Amino acid sequence: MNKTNYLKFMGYRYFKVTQGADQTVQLAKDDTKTNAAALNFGEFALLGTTGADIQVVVTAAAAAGLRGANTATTDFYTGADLANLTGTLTPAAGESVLIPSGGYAVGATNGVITIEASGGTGGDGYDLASGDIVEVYAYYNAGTGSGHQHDGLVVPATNLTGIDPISDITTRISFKSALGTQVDDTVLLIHGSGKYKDVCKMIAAACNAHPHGGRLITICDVYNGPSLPLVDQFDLGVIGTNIYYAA
Amino acid sequence: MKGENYLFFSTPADEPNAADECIMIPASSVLSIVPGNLLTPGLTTTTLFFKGLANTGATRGTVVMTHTSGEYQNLCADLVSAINSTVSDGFVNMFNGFQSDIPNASTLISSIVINSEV
Repeated sequence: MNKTNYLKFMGYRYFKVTQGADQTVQLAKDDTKTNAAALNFGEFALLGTTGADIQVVVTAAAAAGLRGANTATTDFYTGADLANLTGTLTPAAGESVLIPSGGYAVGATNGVITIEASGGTGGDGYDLASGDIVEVYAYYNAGTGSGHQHDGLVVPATNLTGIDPISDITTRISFKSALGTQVDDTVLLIHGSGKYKDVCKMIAAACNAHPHGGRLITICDVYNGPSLPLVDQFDLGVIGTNIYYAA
Repeated sequence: MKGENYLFFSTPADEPNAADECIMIPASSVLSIVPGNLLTPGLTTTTLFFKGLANTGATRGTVVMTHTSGEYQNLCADLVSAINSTVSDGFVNMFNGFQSDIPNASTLISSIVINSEV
């Protein structure tokens, strides 16, 4: 019998954007905005719990923004104490701060996150300055107790149409669309810098694994199991998987 | 095609007497398996998409499976196991009432809806 491996991708969405001095962060297509780079994130309509299923991190480009009084006191990535913990809470360049869930609003159907001003209710917000970097991690419906099952794609390896680099940390994997039309469904893999070729090797290995029988092969499932044999074997450092169905 | 598995889905346990009660598709026509009802995600349904039977390149068919909540990943593992199973005649009984070649189908899947052309 002709058998083929099936590739499984579970979504764990990640987006990184360099902001202007603008409190709204656009991660998905919105009728009133035109940030083409945001198209692959998707909407937040399925989000389980704000604060649990989504994390917003701001990294200061320079000592120009302003943290709210109730924001974190330690760097999100390094764990080190922030530079200015009293008086005017100006972040130092390079400091990364996790915004409390009360410090932003999620536009469920337009993929827009609005970060509250630093002086807003509860002091959870952050005044963004031009050049600040906003990173968003989100996964759908993890808060229900059913595990992360809401956002995924399983495809026959034979439906792979190609793999192309989007940036040094993002690689797009394309498949024949579920729609059956002449379009593609895509998976945007966010990985360590300079890993495009290794992603290609990993996918080729997955497609050709188990030559005598087709299997289901989990390529990435960051939420349920960040450490997976193939990703680890190629040292990809995958931190996000954005799944995008063709419209 | 010789040497290929063919996937049989049926909503009644006996013979069909209406459209979309049954369908058989070659395993190679499977496009993807996605959580939710068609492309609207949900925890209790999973949709198997396949190439439309009309072969126009503009349609697809679907089998929407209603199942135990949060079992998308386990169901996919069982579906792939059945799709790639070794059967001498190539006929894979994916779902036929409560008889199925899908491992754990009787405990996972409660019903299916077939649409041969969307």
